[in-house]
Amino acid sequence: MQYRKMGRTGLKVSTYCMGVMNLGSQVSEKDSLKIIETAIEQGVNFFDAADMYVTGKAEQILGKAIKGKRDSIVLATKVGHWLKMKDNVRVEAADIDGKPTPYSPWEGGGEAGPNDMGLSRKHIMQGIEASLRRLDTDYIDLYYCHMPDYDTPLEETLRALDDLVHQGKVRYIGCSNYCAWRLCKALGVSAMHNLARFECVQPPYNLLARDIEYELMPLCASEGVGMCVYSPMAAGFLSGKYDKAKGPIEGARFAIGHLGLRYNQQYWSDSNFEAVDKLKQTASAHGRNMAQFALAWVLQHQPITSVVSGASSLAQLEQNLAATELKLSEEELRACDEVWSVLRPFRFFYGR
Amino acid sequence: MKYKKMGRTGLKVSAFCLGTMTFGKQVEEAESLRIIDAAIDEGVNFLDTADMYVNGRTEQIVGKALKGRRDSIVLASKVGHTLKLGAKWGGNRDSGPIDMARPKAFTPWPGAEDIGLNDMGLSRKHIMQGVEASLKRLNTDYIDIYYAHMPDYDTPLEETLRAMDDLVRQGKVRYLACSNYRAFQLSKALWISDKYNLARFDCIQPPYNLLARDVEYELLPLCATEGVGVCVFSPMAAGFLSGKYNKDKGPIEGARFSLAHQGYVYNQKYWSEDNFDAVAKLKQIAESNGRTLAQFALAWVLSNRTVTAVVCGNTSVAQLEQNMAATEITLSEDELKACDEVWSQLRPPRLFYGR
Repeated sequence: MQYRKMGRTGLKVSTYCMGVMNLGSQVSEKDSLKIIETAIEQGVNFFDAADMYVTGKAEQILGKAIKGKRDSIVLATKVGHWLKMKDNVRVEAADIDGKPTPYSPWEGGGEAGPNDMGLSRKHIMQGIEASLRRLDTDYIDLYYCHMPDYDTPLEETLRALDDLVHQGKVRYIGCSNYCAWRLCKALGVSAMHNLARFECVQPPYNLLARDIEYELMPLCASEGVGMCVYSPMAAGFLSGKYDKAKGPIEGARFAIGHLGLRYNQQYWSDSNFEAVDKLKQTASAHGRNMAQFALAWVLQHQPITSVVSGASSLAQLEQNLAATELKLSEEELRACDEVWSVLRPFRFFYGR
Repeated sequence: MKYKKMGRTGLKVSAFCLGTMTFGKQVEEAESLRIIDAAIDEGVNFLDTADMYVNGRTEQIVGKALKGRRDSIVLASKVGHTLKLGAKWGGNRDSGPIDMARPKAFTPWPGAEDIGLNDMGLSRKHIMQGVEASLKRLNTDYIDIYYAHMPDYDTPLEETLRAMDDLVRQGKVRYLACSNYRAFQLSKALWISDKYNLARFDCIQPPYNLLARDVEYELLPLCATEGVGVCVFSPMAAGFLSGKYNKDKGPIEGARFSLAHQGYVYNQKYWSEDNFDAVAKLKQIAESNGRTLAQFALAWVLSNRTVTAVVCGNTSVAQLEQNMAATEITLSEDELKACDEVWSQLRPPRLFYGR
């Protein structure tokens, strides 16, 4: 297993970060415990949860699994998720100013009140206690803001998180799903008020979704912010196991109700299927398995700290872990760039 | 003429900002002076220039034109242009990630091959020298908006902002701004100004047009949130959105697309099959509503309320009048939706990381 420093910090994490989003739902508790145990045996020290995964169940399973070996683990979880009306549709300028914000909780969190989501001081303080209880631990190593909350000033959120660091309940803070400008603003607020800063960001990044390369990645490289990327395999789409003609596979990510629909929208398109075909050709021409190729490609980018990757079986876990040891050739990387330039044709860009 | 506040500032500028990049080269001096006169007569109070346009010649013409009516004009100029090599990962496409560790090429713009290492970029030394030279050429003792022309990765933002802040205190500059910056760089610059109590970038000048809308994902939300003015360059994609180009015929002699260096740059940016298709569709939308494509394109940019002004150049008084008239046009919801359709063909939506 390879380890990297998380941004400018002194924290060392495995390049494979085990995501637990599907533990307790797609994967039974018993299998989950075995998968986590195996990952730790193989040298994985980095685990990624969130309070809303399986409405708390995922945290409980993870807490159980790391009992007795807590201190050697870098434990990440998240607070403040809510469902936006235009979730996963690109943010338009007009969305920011004047837009009424809908308070919609995530699926299964239907009872949640207006203060049971978002990044207010009230909810953060309440969220951490609940997570600590479920994880059965007294501290979290990396505490993420799950997504931006445009209703709460960054100052309020960062001061609350800074207090958690002072209280010893959190070691580092991070954010997920933030735009580059907002992460940068947050870094400025922390610098201005001498608060703990976001030392890590968790965006999606894969061969079919490379938008972070234009703003977020250069920001993280220049400011020393770690990048743990989720969806490195485009929610399984890059495994190459899906067939447009056949439709989603029973039980797999693309066939699941609410999430299935979201992933569908994001990836299930002609152009992505064509891209996957081309990528598969490149991978097999170099004797690689497509899933491993996709993971290795992400880790090849220097500002990336880790890939957050789930596994639904031990076999899948072993396969994914092996991918972190691969190094792609220049030729392979160029072929991937070709595919991306078809998916996202060049348009005159504003930054130099 | 419509006027807008520049971001959160108290400065009022005309929605039409007269660009001068071609004055002294494509457009000879006499015609340049006539264009400036006509623009001011029509209520334009906002002029945009840069020290490197035609190697200073443009600033001289602007200075001559403004003689005797300087105070009623909002005069913008720029400092610190360098010609950069393409980003490592993006090849010669300048949209990829910046390689912060890349050795920097000190390459001046065409026509200025002899200038020294400290005659470009955004060091304190060059800024101090640049403003004096611009003031002399413009024949004035202050500039209203002074732009950092493009990011300088060799100079700390603190150094650049402190030098520019000193210019404000010295009375040589009224407002600071930047051009060609990424959103994260502007965001960082804003907090540095905050932290050290320096004048901040109150305006940014990015390219924005119907064929290049990437600013909508990061830069415009930032500007809307922080109250930064947005003066857009290339609102007509360097003339491409006039609809006068024909793929089969090739570039028109004397027009922007056939100029040597710039011709090449613009070529790369817009001269493609899908842009020609897009222009054909846009032309149809514009004409079915009784508008010319050129006016339609300008009005579309100004329909975004985060935008303060369009920076627009002109080669004749006739063209100027047509372009200025565009600022009075309000597009319908249907027209705006049709434009979004065209863009979603050019830039098929992919999973975006920011929510």
